Order: sequence, then C-alpha cells, then structure tokens
Amino acid sequence: MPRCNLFTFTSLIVTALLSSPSFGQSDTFRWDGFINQGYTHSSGNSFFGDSSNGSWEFTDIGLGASWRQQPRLLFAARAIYRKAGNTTDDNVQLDYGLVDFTAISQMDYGLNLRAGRVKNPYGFYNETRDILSSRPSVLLPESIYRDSLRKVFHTSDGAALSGYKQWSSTLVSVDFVVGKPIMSDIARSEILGINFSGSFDDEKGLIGRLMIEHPDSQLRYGISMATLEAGYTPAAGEAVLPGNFDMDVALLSIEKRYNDWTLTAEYQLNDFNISGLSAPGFQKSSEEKSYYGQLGYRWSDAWQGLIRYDTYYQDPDQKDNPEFYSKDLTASVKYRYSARLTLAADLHYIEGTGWLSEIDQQPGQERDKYWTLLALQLGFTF
Amino acid sequence: MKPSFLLILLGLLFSSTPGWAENANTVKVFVNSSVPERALSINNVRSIFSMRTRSWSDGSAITVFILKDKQGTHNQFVRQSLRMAPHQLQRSWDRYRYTGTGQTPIELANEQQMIQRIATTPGAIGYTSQEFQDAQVQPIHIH
Repeated sequence: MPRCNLFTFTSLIVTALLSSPSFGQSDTFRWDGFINQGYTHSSGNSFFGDSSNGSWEFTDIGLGASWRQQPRLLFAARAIYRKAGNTTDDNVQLDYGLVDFTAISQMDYGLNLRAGRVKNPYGFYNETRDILSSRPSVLLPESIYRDSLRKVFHTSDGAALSGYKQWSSTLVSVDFVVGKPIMSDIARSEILGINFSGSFDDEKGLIGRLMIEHPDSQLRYGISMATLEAGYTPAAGEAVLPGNFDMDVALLSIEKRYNDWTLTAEYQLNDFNISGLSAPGFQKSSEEKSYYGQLGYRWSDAWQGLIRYDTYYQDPDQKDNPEFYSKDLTASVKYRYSARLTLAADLHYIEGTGWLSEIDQQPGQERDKYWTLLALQLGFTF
Repeated sequence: MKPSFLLILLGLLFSSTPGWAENANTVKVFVNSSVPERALSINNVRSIFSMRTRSWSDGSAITVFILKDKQGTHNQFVRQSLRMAPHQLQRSWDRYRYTGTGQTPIELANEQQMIQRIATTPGAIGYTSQEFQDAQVQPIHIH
C-alpha cells in the first residue's frame, strides 16, 4: 500500500507540474510543493540507508495548498513523503494542516492563533528544515536537528499562538505551541532502543520561542524551550513494565551577519529521563549537551558556503566512549541555479557515533569511531 | 578529477555576482489611493513586504505585489528601498509559505501590470521604476 500511495502522490505532482504553472492559482488560493533528492556516501556506518555503498534513500516530496478564505482566516495543509534510510515510515503523511486566525493586526504588532497540525517553533531552522534553499547545508547540525527524531520535534497536533512587536528597528517575536507530539514506532526505537515493541501514549508537548532581531545591525538571537512527555505501554507478551519518558530542552540561538559573512551558533541542553520499563522504580537520566558554530560566506546571490563544527554529548559521564558523543566538522557549498532549483554538497569529518540512528545501521555492521560522510542534494520548489 | 574540471569549478566558485541590469531610474513604492498612509517608516515597509504586517491603519487588508523577474527591478527595490538582501526577504516568505501560516506576495509579469493592479486593487502596495500618471496610484514616502 505505501508504494501505491507514493505512486498516486507522485502522479499528482507530475500532473500538477505539467499543467500550466499558474493552474488553480489565484490571489487567495495557492498550491506549492517541493521535491528533494539526495545521495549519501560514507566511509563506514550508515546514514540514510546503506551509505557505505552509496545510498539514494534520501527523498522528500511535498505538496500543499493554502486558501485565504477571508483577510483574517487562512486554511493550509501539506502532504509529505519522506525517505531517509530506515528512519522514516514509507508512506505519505500530513505534514501540516491548520487554520490560522489573525486576532490582532496593527502596523507595529500582531497576534495569530492556530489550530491543527502545526510546525514547532524551535531554533533557527526547524520549521523550514525540508526546504534546501532555506537550509544552510544539505544536513542541518545533527546534534540539535537530529534527522532520526525529525517527526517528534517537527510538528504537534494542537494549538499555537504567534505574536510580534516592532520597536523602531527591533523586532520581537514570540511563538507557543501546546499539543501532542507525533511519536511513531521509529521514535520509540530511537528513544528507548530497537528491542522495544510497545507504544507511547498520553503524549504531551509544550514548546515556546522568543526571537529578537535587529535588521540594521544584522543580528538575531533567541531562546527556545520545549518539554515533552509520554507514557509507555508494553506490547502483549513484551517482558518489560510500563514506563514514562520525558525531556526538557532549552536552546540558545545567535546569528550575526557582517556583509557577506554570517556567524551562527546554537547551544542546547536536553534533560532526558526514562523511568519504569526494566524494573519498578527504575530511573535513567542524562543531560545531553549539543552546540555548533558555523561560519558562512556568500560569494553571490547564487553561491554560498560554510564551515561548521558541531558537537554532541549524550552523557557527561561517558565523554570518552565514542558511542555517546559526535564531533562533526563540516564543509558545505550551495548553488542556487534559479528561484526553484538549488544544489548542495556537504563533506563531514566525524568522530563518534552519538547521534547515529540505531535502526539505520545495517545488520551486523561495525561502528567506526572515525568516519566521513558525503551528502549531496538537489532541491526543487514549485 | 581532471584539472580542467577543477578549474571550471573554481572559476564558478569565485565568479562574481551574476550581473543584473541596474535600472537607471530609482524604484519607488506606491499604494492604491484607498490606503490611508502616505508615509511609512522603513521598518513598516520591510514588515509589509516580509508579509508580517497584514493590515493598514484603518484595518483594511494589505495586498502585496512584486515583480516576477527577481533579477532586475525587484532586487534593486529590495536593496535600495528596503536596504535588505533579497535572500533575507525570501527567508521571511519561506517561513510563512512552508509552514502554512501565510502566503507570499502576488507575483506580476511586468511594470505595466504592476501599475494597473495597484490602481484596481484596494489596499494594494507595490513598486515600480516607471513614470506614469494615475490618480488611483499614490506614492509612499519612506522615512
């Protein structure tokens, strides 16, 4: 069935593309979408499929529409198919589907309320992470924007509030989301381990972000905070007890532009707790730490590049165990061929396998402490 | 990799900005005559073209027009009038467009269409570098 879904979905997009570009478009009704195809090749370990032998299992296809039914009322939805090795479900899903109400709209301030499946306001890149032209490189810093947990962090089913206020040249924006995070079997395997077969329930999430921008001095900075919790119910016959999982995350973000140079840094602390499961009263806590610094340069409207150093420590007590940390030195080049077509290439020199997805590894595959990863992607938007 | 290929790659990497024809005329911002404002701060104009500010001071809805050809007049407008880089404006549009929380400006094919659509759309704002006479289209002073 998933294949059938994908086929129908792809046919729909091809039909849409072949028809006139303005087909169905009006001032108030728009449809849009994107197609990304990537390739990964690694010296060892697997990232998005069997990358040691080169993997094409790195595809995103999105098709969405929005309708401004009244000046203050917007309906929008998008379907997405995503393949990223074993870290994705092989089917078409609702990426977002929401109604947006403009509660207050003045020259210097505004407030919008939303309900439905909404994108989580988190850091600089979470909401637009699927669009290559709005990402700095093929892969975002994995220590913070971990692809194998994309679904858990990307959207929530719930309600959102979004406001802004402009003071002379300073822009302050605030976003909140309260709702249910999307916890699939893949999230279970990533969070608890691949040997579990039960499911999460009573999932709750609360996410907030405060962002301050000074366009004249080309500076923006902010803080994002999220708290997530869920219960765990073992599958029938599974030899573990019910349990709970919760995490509290705080992320600091800062970016400064100077002419064609951009310096970006983000720092995240994640207080991660699991209880129950193996024995009554069992508790496992860890304080995960992630940070990166990135220096970008823009040669022209078309060409840009960056170098980035991204670090992740899963457990401060296991600093010497390469399974519990990752240090990733990345060089990346991005070329914008046109408003619709973007190409990018990343080269990653990585020590440790801390953020590597367990379910993405090939059976019996050894973990290499030192490994390199080449990631290429072509992104098309319409 | 052959050396010639590397040279081409390096050439591409370090080639200068693809030239866009800078228009000799300055690009000016115009609104439909229904719009109560005749002057706006640069921050308000940025906020309107970023699609953040969505209503005029009398509460009427703002309709934003831009030119489809993003190389010439549009880039000149973004750099001169908004004093922003085109990719910064694009980032703001992407955030609304790809999260389902807003729509991007309406793209028009040429400057004649721009003048005509501003004239016939209440609450409209746009820009042009052309000279014209139309009582329905009023200039905006940016301070």
